[in-house]
Order: sequence, then structure tokens, then C-alpha cells
Amino acid sequence: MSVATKAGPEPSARPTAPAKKGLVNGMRWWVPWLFVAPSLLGLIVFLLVPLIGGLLISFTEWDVISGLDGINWVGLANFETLLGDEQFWAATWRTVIYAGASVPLTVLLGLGLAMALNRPLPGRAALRVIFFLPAVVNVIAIGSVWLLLLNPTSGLLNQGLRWFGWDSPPGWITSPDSALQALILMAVWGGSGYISVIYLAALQEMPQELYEAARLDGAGRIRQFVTITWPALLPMTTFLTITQIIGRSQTFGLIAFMTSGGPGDSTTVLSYYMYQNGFIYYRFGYAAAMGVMSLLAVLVLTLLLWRFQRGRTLYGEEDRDG
Amino acid sequence: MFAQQISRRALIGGAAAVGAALLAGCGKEEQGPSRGSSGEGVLNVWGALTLDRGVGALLDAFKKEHPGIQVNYTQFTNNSDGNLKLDTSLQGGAPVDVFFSYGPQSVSRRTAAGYARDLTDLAGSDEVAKQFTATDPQLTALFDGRLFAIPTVYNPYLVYLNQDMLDAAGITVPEDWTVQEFHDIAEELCGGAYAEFATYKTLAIATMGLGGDAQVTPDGTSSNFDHELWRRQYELELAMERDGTLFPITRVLAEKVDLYAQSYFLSGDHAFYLDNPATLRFVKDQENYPHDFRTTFRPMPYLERGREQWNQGGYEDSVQISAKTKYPEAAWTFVRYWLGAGAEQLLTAGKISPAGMPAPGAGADALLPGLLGDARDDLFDVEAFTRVAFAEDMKLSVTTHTAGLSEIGTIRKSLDEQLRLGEISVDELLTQLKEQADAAIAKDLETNA
Amino acid sequence: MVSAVAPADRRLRRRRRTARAKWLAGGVAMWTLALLFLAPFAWMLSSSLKPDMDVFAVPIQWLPADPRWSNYTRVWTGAHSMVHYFVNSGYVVVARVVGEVTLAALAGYAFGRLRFRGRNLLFLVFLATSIVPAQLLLVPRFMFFREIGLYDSLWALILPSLSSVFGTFLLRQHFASAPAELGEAARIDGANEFQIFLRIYLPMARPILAAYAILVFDASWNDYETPLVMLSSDEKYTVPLGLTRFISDDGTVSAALSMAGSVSSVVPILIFFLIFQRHFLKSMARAGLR
Repeated sequence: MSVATKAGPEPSARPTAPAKKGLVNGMRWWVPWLFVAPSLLGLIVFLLVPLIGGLLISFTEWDVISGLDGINWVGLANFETLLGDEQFWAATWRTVIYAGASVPLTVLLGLGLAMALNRPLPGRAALRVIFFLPAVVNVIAIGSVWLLLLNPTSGLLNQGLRWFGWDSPPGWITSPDSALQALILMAVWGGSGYISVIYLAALQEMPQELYEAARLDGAGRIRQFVTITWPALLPMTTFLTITQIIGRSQTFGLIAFMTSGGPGDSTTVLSYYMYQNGFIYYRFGYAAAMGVMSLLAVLVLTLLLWRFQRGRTLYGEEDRDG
Repeated sequence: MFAQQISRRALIGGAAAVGAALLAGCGKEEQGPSRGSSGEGVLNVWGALTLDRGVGALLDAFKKEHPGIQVNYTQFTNNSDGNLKLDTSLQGGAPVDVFFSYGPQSVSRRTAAGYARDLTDLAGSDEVAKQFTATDPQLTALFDGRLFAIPTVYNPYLVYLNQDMLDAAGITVPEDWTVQEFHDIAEELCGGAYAEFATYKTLAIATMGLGGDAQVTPDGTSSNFDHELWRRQYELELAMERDGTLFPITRVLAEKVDLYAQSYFLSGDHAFYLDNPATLRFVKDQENYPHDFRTTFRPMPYLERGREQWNQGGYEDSVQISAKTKYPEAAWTFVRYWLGAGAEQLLTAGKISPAGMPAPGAGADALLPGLLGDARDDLFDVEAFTRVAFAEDMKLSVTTHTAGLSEIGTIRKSLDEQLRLGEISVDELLTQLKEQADAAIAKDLETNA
Repeated sequence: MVSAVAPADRRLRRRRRTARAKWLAGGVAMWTLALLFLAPFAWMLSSSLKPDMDVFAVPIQWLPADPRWSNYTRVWTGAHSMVHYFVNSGYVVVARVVGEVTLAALAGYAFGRLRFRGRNLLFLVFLATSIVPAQLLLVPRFMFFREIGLYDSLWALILPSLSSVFGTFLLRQHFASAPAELGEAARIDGANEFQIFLRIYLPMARPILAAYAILVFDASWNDYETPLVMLSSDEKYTVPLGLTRFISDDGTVSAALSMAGSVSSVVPILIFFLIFQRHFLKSMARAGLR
């Protein structure tokens, strides 16, 4: 609690005319820094310091258990090994497929849910809670229900597929060919409710006047969505996409419960392979090197998405202004 | 009750400390001077057994007998998360005086890291623990001939059988049945629709013939999967998968069976269940596993009739004393109590202490109420249990080579699934297994060299 | 005139009718979909009232024939009741929700509304920190916390999460789109920057703050990995860690008890969600009136 009360900066900057010396936009230069300082401090102490630690570990051979005395500096050896590690590349590829398929679908379904829940519906309040449920129910319960749904013979999903005329539907988690698809399905289902809560909050803040004006102009629902809703939600969408990619590339609990990386290696994604190397084989240096590699990969991806979004928003804004 | 407040100075000091530690590489705690005596001290004990499975009663009884020793018991789950927690605590995260290591890899890892005290001399003076310092026969892992971990559980593998099902099918299972008979009876039971499937697990043929180090060559430097017994093991497994006597892999995967495999035996769907005495607790738990058949027991099937072989079970759940403990004498008192007088409290969990082993031919009457419960005459073939579990020719296996062990476990699981799913053949499995396991062993040996 | 009104009236009625039909059709579609989302929770509820052997039985029995309420009494009143896990979790959650929402609002406001040198670069750095894989941080964090004496303390769960990149972004987006005129007017009236933030912009952010509070509540209530590594003594355990008590030493799960505990653990989140749900709706109504 003390943290929270301490966090607010003192009201310090006296109101002053913009022309005064030493002021930026009418306030002392350090005022904004006071607002940012608590968060910044937290990031430096609790993220930057351990991150440096993680980077250092990636240059070592270390089983953690033997303590700091047992650290064996190996320079770039871990990274060299990684480059030649077929399992690493296979796991990376699976991660790309897993995140690449599940993230766009999750975000789209989340947006769809939010739009639907933003309209009058019977029992809307209850529905909002229900779609959020997967985010609060624990992994064992979620996994167990999906085991029932995905059961190749008795599961609801395959019974449905057979009813639609698919005679030999996928074996889902019992087959190396479809296990990853099953996990993608679960990820989309589990993430979309969470996404919809955020979209819903954003939708409720949309200025209604814009829609009214558009309606007066004779714009239909689709046109309203394309010209008003989507551009306004684009930064949020980019951000959600990025955070989802980050989250998905780290997915672990559900995979550990559902498939433990199998059957065969078919669901050994990067995070699971990293976990195996660190926590099961006690090769923490090697695992850290993998972490660093995936950090770099996500960094590049994020920068690309960010650039893309900035370009789009500017375009969108100009379009609206014009 | 709650965490201490932290000051800014502590934060800055801490940051400096971690920096310094990383630079200087000095993270280990100083070893304190020995305090206390055999009857006095404060012990932090880490084990995986939960309090409700006898540990609570053991601790209460210990407290009565040794009021001068205060014991704080921390339960950790014996999985990778739980073991990491213990490992980090051993490193100085939290005080640990006595801890349990499950499996040869945990024992050797913690011993190699210097966290365990050499118990050779202490054990040598103890009637029960003495046997574990021996090299012929060697019952547990030794490090340069020294003992750092004392097994607390006699854990043979047994075959649990559904007696009523066998009676209905008119089958008598011989005491010295062979692997072939195991398979034949399985087929008979499934063919006659007495059982849905015969068994959840298959037989560890290679371990039966070669012992606990079956996965490696005698010198431990490479894997042993080109041995003929491994081929036999995987061929049997594949045959049983195909003829429907083994619980099929698709169902194992689809139903996440590893969490509750005993359910299929206790619901009467499977004829056999292969496990150590830990499963006894499910059989006698009529509240959670209600069933009305009687369970009987047989030894693991023989590779060859009349020939001695290894049992895939071993002396397990090893207890270690921390090298850093301030109360080594009290810790030893506690270890002895766990093995000796306290052991009867753990019988209910199916844990048989090596100290509690009945003398040959003496019968195990003292152990039965704890192990099999009060309704034992209805639920168990008590006579068969005693005969099988404490058989004179029981030869428990020992694993001494641990290089690459956990990685080989992962490799085997993955390939085994592919074999049973029909993705690869036995030949392909053996080739890949040999190659990947060799690499895993080499990697570990190189790191630890 | 009369003839002009009648068709308009009819059209209005027809539009109402189609709106109503849409309302119903949408309802049916959404509720059907909702069943799929409700299923795990229903499964938990049903499993929590069964004996262990029946939990994973196929085909599943949704309504246990003989509900075992004793699973709940065992979880709550047994020799090792879950009460203290809830107290610990409550403590962590309150601290985290208050702390994270406050810090994110402050930083989000600065990034969204205030202009200062290096703002965009700093914001990018902020965002960049969120892409660090948690597994990379786990071990060094543990060692760091051990050095500063936070190991096995609830503060080890609270402090590292207070600076939230996600929350900062969420609120920056909100504040950036808030109208600038209000603040300028207040500034002319002599209010300082903090007063402007507190009195004018913060109240406007209520719906997004509520949404964010729900997410923080959820994340902190369900956090499993951090306590797993940072806590060692049972009396400090939070709920998710307490739930692992039902997994026995050899990995077998007392599924029924575990689910009774899980159901109990979901209830606080649902209550929290429902409370803030109303908040959403209120702000909706306000928006409609405007």
C-alpha cells in the first residue's frame, strides 16, 4: 500500500505562462519525468538488472545448482551450438506457426466479440463475464475440458465434423499432424475473451458523434466500421497483436499440460524446448541463449509491426482530416 | 505475518551486492560452526510426501520423542518446478538441513554440487543404513565409493491383478510366469472381453535383463540401445499396441492418462497394473476408488523361467543431509528416526522402509495394517502380497550412470509415441534412439568434465 | 398530412420489429457460442463435487449423481485449510491493483498528454521491455531477490510487476485521445499539471482504468510462476501455489479437491469482474445521454 500512496509526485510545478524561461510547454522540464519516474525506476530495478543477468548467463555453461562458483564462461559457444541445433530450428518454426496462426485469429475473434457485446443483446452483462471466463479459469480445468472436446472418437468437435460429412477427422492432440492445430484452436478460444474486454473498453470510448455524423451521411455499418472504428482501433490492434505475439511465443502451461511437447516432438515449441533445456536438463546457459535469440526475433518483429502501424495511422489521420 | 518492508537502501545495497557477486563469483554462504547436539537443534526438512500421507504423524511422533529438535517440514512437488525450488533453496535461498532427492539424477546432481554431507561413516555405524555403503551387492548410488544419500523406501515393482476377472476367465497365473505368458494371458483376457485392455504399462524388458544402468554401456560413456533386449522390449510393446492388449497410445494422449492411470485398473477395465507399492493407497481408498473386486499380486514376468533377473524398482526416495546444516547431529537423529521408528507412519502411503523389511520367511504381519488398511481381507489377496513383495529372490535395480539421463527420458518418450502411433518402425526407433542418446550423454559428460 | 404520417409510423414499427428480431437472433448466436466458453467452468464445478475416480471418466457426467459437498469442507476447514492462501493473495492483489493502476496512469498520462524531450524514445524503450521472455528473467531475478532479502516475501510478487508496460500503453492511448482544451482551460485558471491530471483527465479515464484493474486483478490472482520461484514457506503461499497442494508427491492429482479449490479461487475474480462490469455499463449509459 505504501507503494501506491508514495507513487504520486508532489504537485510542484507552479502554473506559469508559456513564455517563461526554462519551461517547455508551460511547465518545468522535470515535471513529466516525475510522472514517469516510478514506472521507470521499477523497470530499471526489476527488469533491466535481471535482464543483464540473463544476458550474462547466456555466455555461460551453468547448471544454477552449483551456484555462482559453478559458472563456466564459454563466450559465444552456446550461440554457435544453437545455430547447428536442428531441434532448436524445428521448435522455432513451430513457434512461428503457432503464434502466426493463433494471434491474428485471436485478435479478430476478440474484436468480433467486442463489437457483438457492444450492441444490445439479451443477457449482455452475463455474456461479457462468460467470454472473459477462460482468462480466469485455471489451466487444468481448461485443459481437461479441451481433452473432452478434442477426443478423436467421443469428442464433440469430431462428432460435429463427422456430422458435416468428414469421415476421418483429425486426431488432434493424438496425432503429430494435428496437435499443433489443436493448440492453436485452444489459444484462439482462450485469448479472445481477454482481448474483447480491452476492445470493449475502447469501443465505449468512441465518440458517438462521429457515428451519428456518418449515419447522416448515409454510411452503412460496414462503411462506419471501415472509416471510423477500424482506424481508431488500429493502434490498439497493433499493440494487442504485439503483446499477443509475445505472449504466444512464451506459451508454456497449456502445452505442458495438454501435450508435454508431443506426440513425438510435434508441439515442442521454443518456450517448451527452452524449459526442457533449463529446468529439466539443467543447461541454463543454453536455455538463456535461446531466450536471447527469441528476444531478438520478437524485437525485430515488433519494430516492423510498429513501423507498419505508424505509417497506417498517419495515413488514416490524413484521410480523416482531408 | 507479512513480508518485511524494504528500504531504498536495501534496494541499492542489494543491487550492488548482486553486481559484486556476479563479478567476484562469490555467492556461497559461509559454513557456520556446528551447533546443537543429537537431541537439540532446528531442522528444515524438505520432502515431497504430503503431510496427510503419514508425514504429519511421523513429525508429531518425532516431536514427542525428541522435544529438543524443532522440525519445519516443507513439502515440494517432485516435478521439475518443485525440484528447482529445492535446488534454489539449497543454493542459499532458504535454509535446508535435511532433504529428499527422488531419482538418481537428482541425487547425483545435488551431490556433485556439494550440497550433501558424506554419510558413509555415520551409516556404517547404523544397522539399517550400513547395507547401503556396500559395493557387493551395491544397492544405491555411491560417489567415489562414498555414500551421500540414504534410500528410505524399498520400492519393488509388482503386478497388481484383478482376481475376480481372472476367476471369471478361468485363468490361473503361475507365480513364475514368463513374458510370453504375460502376453498370452493378456490376449486371452481381452479376446474373451473380460478386460477392455490388459495393461496400461508395458514391460521394461531391458531393465529386467540388464539392471538399472540398462540404457548405457558398462563404462557409461555411450548408450546401449543397440542391445538385443531393447529391440525385444520395443517389439513387445508394439505387438501389444497392435493386438489391443496395451492401452492404446491415442487414448493415453487423448485422455491425459498419466495423471490417473490407476483409475482404469480400479474401475475393472484393465486386468493388470504394474507399479510399486505406492498404488496400494488407491486400492484401499474405497471412498475415492470404490470397487468390489479383490486385487492379487504376481512378480514381474520372467524373461526366462527359473532365471534370476532384475526388478525395475529400486531403493528409492533418498534422504540427504545438507553440507551447510548447523545441526548435523540432530539431522542424523532425524534421518535415523525416519528410517527406523518413524517408518511405520509412512506405511499407509505405501512406503516400506528398508528397516521394516521382514526377515526371510518371517511374514510381514506387522506391516500389513498400515500398507493394506483395515479392509485388507476383502480388498487384497494378502498372502500373495506378502509372498510377492518380500520375495527372497527380489533384486532391485540400481542406477549409477546419470549422464544425459533426463534428456534420454525425453527422447525415449518422444520416439515411443511415434512408434506406437505407427509413424516409425522399431528399427528407426532404435537407430534414432541410439544416436540421440549418445549425443545427450556426450554433451553431459563434456559439460561436467 | 395524415397520409404522410402513417407510412412513417409503420416504417418505425417495422424497424423496431426488425431490431427486436436482430436482438433475439444475436442473443441466440452469442449464447450458443457462450456455452463453449462456459464449459471449463462448468466442468470445474461438476468435478469439484465428484470422487476422484469419476473426474476424468469418459463419457463425462456433467451432473454428479451424488454430489460430494465434503470436497469443499475438506478444502476449507481441513487440517490445512486454504484460508491463509486467500489472505496472502488478497494482500498481493490489492497492492498490485492499486500500485499498477496508479503507476500506469501516471506514466500513461505523461506519455500521452505531456510533451518533453526524449518522450518518444523513452516510450519505445518502455514498450521494448515487454518483449523480454519471462523465462530468461526467472533465474537472475531469483538470485537478485535473494541478495536483497526479498526472497520468500510477498513483496517479491508485488514490486517487480508494479511498472506495467501494458497498462502504460493502454492509458497512454486513452490520454492521447482526450480533448486538450479542458487541460488548457484549467491551466489558465491556475491549476498545476498534477491537479489537471488528478481532477480533469483521471476521472474521464474511469472505464479504461476499470478494465485495466480487472486485468491486473486477474493476472495477479492467477500468477503461478513468480510465487513458485520466489516463495518457499507455506504460510506465504498464494492461492495458485496453494492449489498445487492437491498434487501429491508422485504427480498424481487429487482432481476433485483441486477443482473444489479452483472453483473457490475463481469466485473472487468473478465478483470483482461483476462489480466493475457495472462500472462499464454506467459509463455506457452516460455516453448515451451525452
